[in-house]
Amino acid sequence: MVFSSIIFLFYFLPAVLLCYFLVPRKYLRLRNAVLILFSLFFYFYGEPKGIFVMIVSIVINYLGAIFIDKCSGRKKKLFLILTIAMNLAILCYYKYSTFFLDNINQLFQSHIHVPEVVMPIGISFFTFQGMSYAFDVYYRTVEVQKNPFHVGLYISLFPQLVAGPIVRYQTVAEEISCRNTSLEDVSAGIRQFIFGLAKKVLLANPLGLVATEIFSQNIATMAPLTAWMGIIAFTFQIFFDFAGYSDMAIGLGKVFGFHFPKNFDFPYISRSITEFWRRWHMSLGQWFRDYVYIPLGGNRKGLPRQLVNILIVWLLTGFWHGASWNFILWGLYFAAILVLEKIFLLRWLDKVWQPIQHIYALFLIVIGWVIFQFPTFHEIFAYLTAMFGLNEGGDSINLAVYFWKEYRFEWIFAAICSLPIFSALWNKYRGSQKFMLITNLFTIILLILSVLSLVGSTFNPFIYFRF
Amino acid sequence: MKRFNELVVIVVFLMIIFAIPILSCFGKDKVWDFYEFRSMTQIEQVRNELSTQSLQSGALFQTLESYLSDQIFQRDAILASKTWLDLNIFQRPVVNDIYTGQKALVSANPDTGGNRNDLLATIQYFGYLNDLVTSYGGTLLIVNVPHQSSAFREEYPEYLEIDYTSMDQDNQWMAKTLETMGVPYLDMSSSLLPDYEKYYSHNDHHYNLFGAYETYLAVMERLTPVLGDLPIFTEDQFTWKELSEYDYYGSRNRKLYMLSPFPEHGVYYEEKNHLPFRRYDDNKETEATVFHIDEDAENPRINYSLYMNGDNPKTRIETDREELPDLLIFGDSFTNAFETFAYHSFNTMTSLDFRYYEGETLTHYIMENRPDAVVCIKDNTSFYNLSGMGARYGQR
Repeated sequence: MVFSSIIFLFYFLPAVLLCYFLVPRKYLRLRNAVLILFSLFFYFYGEPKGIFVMIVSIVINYLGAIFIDKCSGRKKKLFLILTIAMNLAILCYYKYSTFFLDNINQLFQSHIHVPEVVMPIGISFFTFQGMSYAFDVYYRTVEVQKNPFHVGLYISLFPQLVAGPIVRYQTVAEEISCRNTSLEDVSAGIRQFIFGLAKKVLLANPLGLVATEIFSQNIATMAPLTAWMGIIAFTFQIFFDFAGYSDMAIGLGKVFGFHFPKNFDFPYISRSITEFWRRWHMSLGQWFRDYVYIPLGGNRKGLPRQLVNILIVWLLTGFWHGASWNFILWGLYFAAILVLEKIFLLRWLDKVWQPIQHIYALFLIVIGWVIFQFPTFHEIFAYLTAMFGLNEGGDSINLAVYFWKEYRFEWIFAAICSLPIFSALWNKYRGSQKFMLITNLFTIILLILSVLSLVGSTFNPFIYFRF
Repeated sequence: MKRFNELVVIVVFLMIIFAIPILSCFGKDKVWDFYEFRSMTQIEQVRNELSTQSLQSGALFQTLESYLSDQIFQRDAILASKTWLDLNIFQRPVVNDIYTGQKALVSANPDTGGNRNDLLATIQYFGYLNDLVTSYGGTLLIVNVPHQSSAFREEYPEYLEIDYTSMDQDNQWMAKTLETMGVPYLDMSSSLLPDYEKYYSHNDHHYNLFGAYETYLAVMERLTPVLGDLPIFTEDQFTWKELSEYDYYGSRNRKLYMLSPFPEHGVYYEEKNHLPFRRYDDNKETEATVFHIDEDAENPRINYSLYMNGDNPKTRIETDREELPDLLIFGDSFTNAFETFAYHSFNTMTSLDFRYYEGETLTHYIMENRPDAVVCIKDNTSFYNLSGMGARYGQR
């Protein structure tokens, strides 16, 4: 089930809100039980078979943390390794086994049977959350949780289950056992949910159509303008899709009294790649920083070691995004830029005109999305040559003209919403009740437009109509 | 004020997310949607899907989602509002697959050609039919009518890249090949396209009644020398009438939820001297009329079904003038408006629509009934396959 669907918005969400708020505030355990049940159903709806994987993940992390907490010394470390290994085993089997076996078969000309594994939705998120809990218990950042339902709720909580943000246990540990839902939180949460829904439905979806359509054309003859339009559409799509989903998750969390961390902070206004990764998918960056980069030594063991650590972290970051070589390349691409920035580029960038810094960062980000989007090196190369007019060429720019005319509002609003204009206004005027009234009106209009667009996406005329 | 501001967004949000499912549940399920021209998912389909297997595979939830979105409260009004916004506020050139031109609504993705080998199969089939019909002294005529989108081709902006060159070349090649084979062929392009605004609906994918009449006259001009003097239903025998009290709901306008900027009314004619006839649909006698207006309906919708009451698998009109020849028509919905004129010139007129007709094949029908004239009327996009030609099951 996705948030931007009729079933979620008009059936699941009202049902969970009704059941949750019908339970008096003092019966928090019962409220948690409601959330667990609905979260499990939420997952079951989208992935009936995958529910068992998630339950196994909960059990592993619950028991693992208990053993880690009870033991000390080498035994404690052993249980941590065991828990992490089991989490990784689940992740590897469901997400990476096909990739590994395919590559082994290709490399060694072997014929190892490649099983057809269906990857459970959100597995990268909930296993990472589970591991963060085990790590935090190991480092004694948090107290071990004796109540299995609390661990279950932390891992399965539906708002952040499918697409993050990756919430660390310490962020919500207290709120699981003691939280208050204020009117302000509910109102702010609903507002953020609506903004997220609008980002997803009104911007990401239509621009996604543009990107998909352009990517399906013949790249060899594509005009440079069309190629740029395709990748810029994808640049907007991936941001508004992901950031929209995060906003919806954070907003829903607030409604239920949880405060999840911010996941995106206007990444496209960055002036360097280092800054971009501080603003993009922040919860993943923090996870890798806390559980991989720092344990590897971070920047404490000299520059060469730091550069190696960066390389390892970005190799893993790329691989986390998908079981394909292009994701590994994508991670290494950013690792290389980050290393260069660390060595000299950042110092150089600081001295140049600010717009040049933005152009530099955006250009590299967009090139990065080409690597991210196309699964083979051949396609990546072909698309890059199309963007720079080095392909055969020959196609007109008609498709680009059409997509501009058809989606001009989406293009304009996508550009505006990538900038922190609204958030600047919000910070400046949020004390003003008039401003709040206008914001609410705007929010309601966005909700109505999103509902129209959601229902509109189900318009499905009989094929005979094509005539 | 602060509390009001906090509350207003909560209240409106909750009202929307609670009211829509509640109202949807209490509303009556819709079986058929006029605008989308399709059956809507019913609760029975969800019930039928109930099984452990479909639960595990996710098929149950897919059907459930389809049901909920099909039966959502005021679905048509919501979709119409979105269409209005897309047309008027967002000014999208293409909405619901329809391009709004300067003069007409046209398909944004029209068929503009096909595989020439498939066209060859159709041509060969026509050759076979011609041999069949002439074997007992009958005559065959293949009529090619330009489709509305190809008639209004100048409406398309350059950036939509709608190019009919290939189809035009194919049509010319088909004409030449049929001529070589001796198969009588009539391309209506030269008659209809010079004045396409007069002959085509601006909101529907068909020609209008004027276009159908022009086609009727052209067909009669080709048949008369072969079949002898036939009574031709000329304009002095009838009066054109416009159903000005009703809007004409064309198929393209229907996709835009009747928001077309091109007002249009249904046209019919009134005979000065009525020609009595009996009409049979699927061998059952029905009302002897060729124009159908459901005036009893709460909201009468005049569309192309005005002519012959829409597509019928088999329609037969008998005028009891045995001195006149019998006519068999087959093809697609372009035959409907044509038929309103054609029966005036024949003793009997039978129309088979092989998209729906499940009786004998065309070959069997022709050999059993030996009609004097067999006329095939199809639009220029539909010659690339044999569907609707009565050549099913691989049989000729």
